[in-house]
Amino acid sequence: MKILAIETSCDETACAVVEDGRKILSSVINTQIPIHTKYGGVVPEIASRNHVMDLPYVIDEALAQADMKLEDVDAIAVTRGPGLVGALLVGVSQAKAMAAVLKKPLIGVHHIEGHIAANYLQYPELEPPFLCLVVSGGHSHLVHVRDYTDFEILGRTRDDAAGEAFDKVARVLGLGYPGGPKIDAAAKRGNPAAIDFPRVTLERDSYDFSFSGLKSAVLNYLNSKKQKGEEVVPEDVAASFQQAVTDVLTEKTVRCAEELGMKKVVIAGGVSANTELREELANACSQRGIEFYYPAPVLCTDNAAMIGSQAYYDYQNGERADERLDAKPGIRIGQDHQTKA
Amino acid sequence: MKILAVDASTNVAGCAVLSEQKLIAEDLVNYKLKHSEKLMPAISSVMDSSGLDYGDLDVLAVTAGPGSFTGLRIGIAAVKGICQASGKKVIPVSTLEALAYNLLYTTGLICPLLDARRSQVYTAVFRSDGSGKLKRLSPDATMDPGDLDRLLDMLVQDGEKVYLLGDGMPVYGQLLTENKPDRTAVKPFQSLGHAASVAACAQDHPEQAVDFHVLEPVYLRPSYAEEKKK
Ligand SMILES: [Zn+2]
Repeated sequence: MKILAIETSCDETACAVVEDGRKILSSVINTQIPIHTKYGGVVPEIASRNHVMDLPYVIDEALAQADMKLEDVDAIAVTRGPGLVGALLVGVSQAKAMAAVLKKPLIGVHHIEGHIAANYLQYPELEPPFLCLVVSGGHSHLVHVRDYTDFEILGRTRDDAAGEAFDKVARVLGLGYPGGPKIDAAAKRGNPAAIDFPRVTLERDSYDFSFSGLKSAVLNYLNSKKQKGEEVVPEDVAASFQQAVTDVLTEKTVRCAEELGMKKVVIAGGVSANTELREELANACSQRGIEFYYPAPVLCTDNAAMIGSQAYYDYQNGERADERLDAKPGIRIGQDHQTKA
Repeated sequence: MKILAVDASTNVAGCAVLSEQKLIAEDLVNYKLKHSEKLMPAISSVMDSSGLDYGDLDVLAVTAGPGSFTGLRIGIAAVKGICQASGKKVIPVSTLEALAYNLLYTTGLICPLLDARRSQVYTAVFRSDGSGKLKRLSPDATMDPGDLDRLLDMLVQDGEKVYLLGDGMPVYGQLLTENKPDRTAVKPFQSLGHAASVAACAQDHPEQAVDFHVLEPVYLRPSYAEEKKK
């Protein structure tokens, strides 16, 4: 089954054709990062304006790379949420219209479930159940993936998502946007033990996260240095901050996997491209005999192939969206699925 | 010419199928804005009612703007989707000119205005001689209501009537018609965007048909972030 998938939830206009949830026939990502950089972050209205102009070309390109015509696809999938509502609406509106004209099934996909599914594209042998750490600009979740369409959230951020903290710290350090890759690069030249930022682990029995305290600690550190007229080494701050985030994410994830007796740990989302996080989790997992899976960086950041993968499993599970399909900017993982056939 | 017209530029979501001059089916919803849920079922319904397949259409029409930014994109993305899947072209129509088409056979000035928020209107002025042809007197623009008031005074000729319509009227109608006997606020039902008017307007401009890739919303206003940056 060949699914054409569309993703427009944030600042990437993406389209892909994916076969049977596992094989990428094409994947085109048109990033708007250069457009938003001068605003220091994604401007929703500008993102929507670009999506509506770029999407038809991105679809053409995805079909061309897959050497297919639109009539040849078996279903149309689209990200329905979460994300920026105006941006989502562009993809949803266009996808619904194409499905109506082509008389093909329409599948509305949860963006974060798509991020998790990116691992199915990377690892053809990977099957649920597993524990997934989802870390991105808008999300930090520990998810028990019981089956392809059966999710249980075990932990979530109580304030900022990990990616938000990266963006904010990158901004105050003057490293630019997007924060994740900038911090990652700067940290490689810094000393992760230079500054002892707090590791907020919350209650012992909780798998929730909190990053706002860490974010404030970085801001306080920079302020006090400035007041004392002392020099700041941005690379050291970046490395120490990144180390603190990584320590907390790794500790929570590994403890959760052990306590629940999970044999497989998977990471997903934009922040999962962070090299330090990958390394630390890989080490911690291998010490405990846990298998560790992580997608290639191009599959970590927003793309449509991951939507096409998850759509296949949603479809197998009977999910069919009708023409009323709406963007759901705040939809929660594993909840409120579209109507079943 | 068989034409499917789509309008989601204001609180009204509508669509219509016209075959030559004949209106075959029309759908209009002016209740609780939720265009993303209502537009596509409405389009399917008028296509069903008209007994046409998308392949039978000669061209599509859509209100390209001005209007609600999100509404415009919902309509335009849907039209792009239909065109991408059917290979059809599309005629973009000014939301304001389509509104003026509601009053095609009146004689006088026709002034559609849309609430552009921030104390402004999107507006344009047309002259109708009753023959079924409109003459545009001013381009689609964002304007302060006071400036529109002066523009109308400047354009109106002795004894000429001015008809005002559009969703800017509930907000600025009183300001624009008070103590102005030559100006008439059009009844609300005729003041709404009608997809049939969009289709009729498009039929009069077949030369403006474009490839859907280049179909672009006419916002008449940069995004807030861009304005602030300046
Ligand atoms: Zn994402």
